[in-house]
Amino acid sequence: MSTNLAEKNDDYRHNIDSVKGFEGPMFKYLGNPQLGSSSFQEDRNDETKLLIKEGYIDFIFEKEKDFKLDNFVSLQKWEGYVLKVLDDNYILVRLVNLTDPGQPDEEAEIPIQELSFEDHELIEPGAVFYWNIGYLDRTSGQRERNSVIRFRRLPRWEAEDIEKAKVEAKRIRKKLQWK
Amino acid sequence: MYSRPQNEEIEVSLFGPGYGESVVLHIGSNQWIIVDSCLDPTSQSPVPINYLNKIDIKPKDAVKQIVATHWHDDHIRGIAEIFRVCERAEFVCSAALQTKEFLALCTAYGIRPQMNSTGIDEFSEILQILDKRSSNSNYVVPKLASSDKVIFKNDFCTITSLSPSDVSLYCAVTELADLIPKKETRKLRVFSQTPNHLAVVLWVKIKNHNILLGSDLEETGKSGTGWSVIISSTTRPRGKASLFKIPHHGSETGDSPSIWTELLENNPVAILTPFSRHSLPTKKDVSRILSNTSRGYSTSPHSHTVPRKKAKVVEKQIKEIVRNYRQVDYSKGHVRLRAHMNKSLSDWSINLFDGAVALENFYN
Repeated sequence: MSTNLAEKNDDYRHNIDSVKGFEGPMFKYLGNPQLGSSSFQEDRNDETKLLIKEGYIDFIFEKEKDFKLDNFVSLQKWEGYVLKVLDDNYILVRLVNLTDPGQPDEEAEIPIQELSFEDHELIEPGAVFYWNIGYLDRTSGQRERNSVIRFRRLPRWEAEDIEKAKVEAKRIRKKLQWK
Repeated sequence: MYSRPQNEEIEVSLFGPGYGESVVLHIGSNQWIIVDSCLDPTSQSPVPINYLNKIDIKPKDAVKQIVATHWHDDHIRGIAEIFRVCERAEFVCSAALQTKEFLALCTAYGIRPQMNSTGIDEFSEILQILDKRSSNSNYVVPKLASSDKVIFKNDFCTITSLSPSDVSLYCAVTELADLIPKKETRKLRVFSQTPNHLAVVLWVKIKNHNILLGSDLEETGKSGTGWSVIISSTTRPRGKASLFKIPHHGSETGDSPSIWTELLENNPVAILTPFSRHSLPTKKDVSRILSNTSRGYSTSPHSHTVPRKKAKVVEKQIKEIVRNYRQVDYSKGHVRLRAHMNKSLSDWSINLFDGAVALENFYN
């Protein structure tokens, strides 16, 4: 096997508890350098060498060079947000057209069962998501109609942000005088 | 068709893109007041500014006051841009929006983390403009509207805010505090989900004419809030209005029988903008309004707007997944009313533009 150890974080993983979760179609498990099981000792650069020495790299994965992914061809994309969670397991949403910007917004009721299970915890009024409809071209050559709704995992508010906002609000309130 | 009013002519122009509204008011002598804002669906520019330009009025000089009656997204889209253009105008908003809770909400969301314009974004921008202007010697201090407070006065016109009430302001602190982000919670798009009792209702007196602009004020069931507190007020301006901008798109929650008997003349001119999401006004609402006046008008007729055509495969997929799929109605209608300020009380000339209709034809 021709080994091509990439030296970028994107191309290998280190300091993880288990191989599980990192195995996938794009990455192939090559070995654990701590156990001397790697067949690519000669290829690594100084940084990788140091990381292995310090014990940061537990498992090494090779990025498959010729790996082909299913290809999604988008025909329609919206950015949306939840207006209301309805009683019958539907959400009322507002949709902003990203494929044809400037078109009027749309609204719809989407069944929660249509959403990924892992997104369920994100469903609440104001939650932002993307909705993509198009074709999924499989590597096998098959073409399927496809709809993907993914909720955005926006960063969480930090105490520091909130405190800064309160200080700024106090400053503005005083400065603008108001009457 | 579009001409500027005479100096002694009052004009009330109501614009409604179905979801949101704006009132442009000529109080005489080329002095204009803008109440709320909405965007032109095509150009995405503020409708009030477009209109004034169209009738050859220079907004920068002519607009004296800009009133944001509340912070809901579709009542103030474009208001920051209006304020930027009309740099000598005074800015007026609900006293609830000067609370530290609302300002903290605006400053926290000052750097927009997500999608297209929200009411909070508009207010954040207004605050930034005010912050910058406050260092200038000609800074116009913003004004806060609350119950029975004169917010504008000249030789022939007095404008009084009739709300929000003291109780509403007290409740607002808790309601707005609930919207301030909490540590470790995810960033969300912010919008209010409670009945609107913080909106600014305006009583406009121009010589013999009284005009009642109802904003979106709703009854909440809580005493000391909504229309009941306005009606029972002993300190509000006396008299009855001949022109009424109906609150909250003609909904039942924005109405009270006492408004018609205590605040309005017999058979007043009543104008509204519809709200497509909740199909407001309903048939019942239209009947109720028409039982109080024969002179009701809407900026557009009822419509269940079918979304614009998309690729067949997309439409098929949508149909399989969702229910109640509809386009938000942005059709921009215009109801224009004019009256000579020295003539009789209810002598309004009415013009309907861009699809505006008499309320009796709303469901036809």
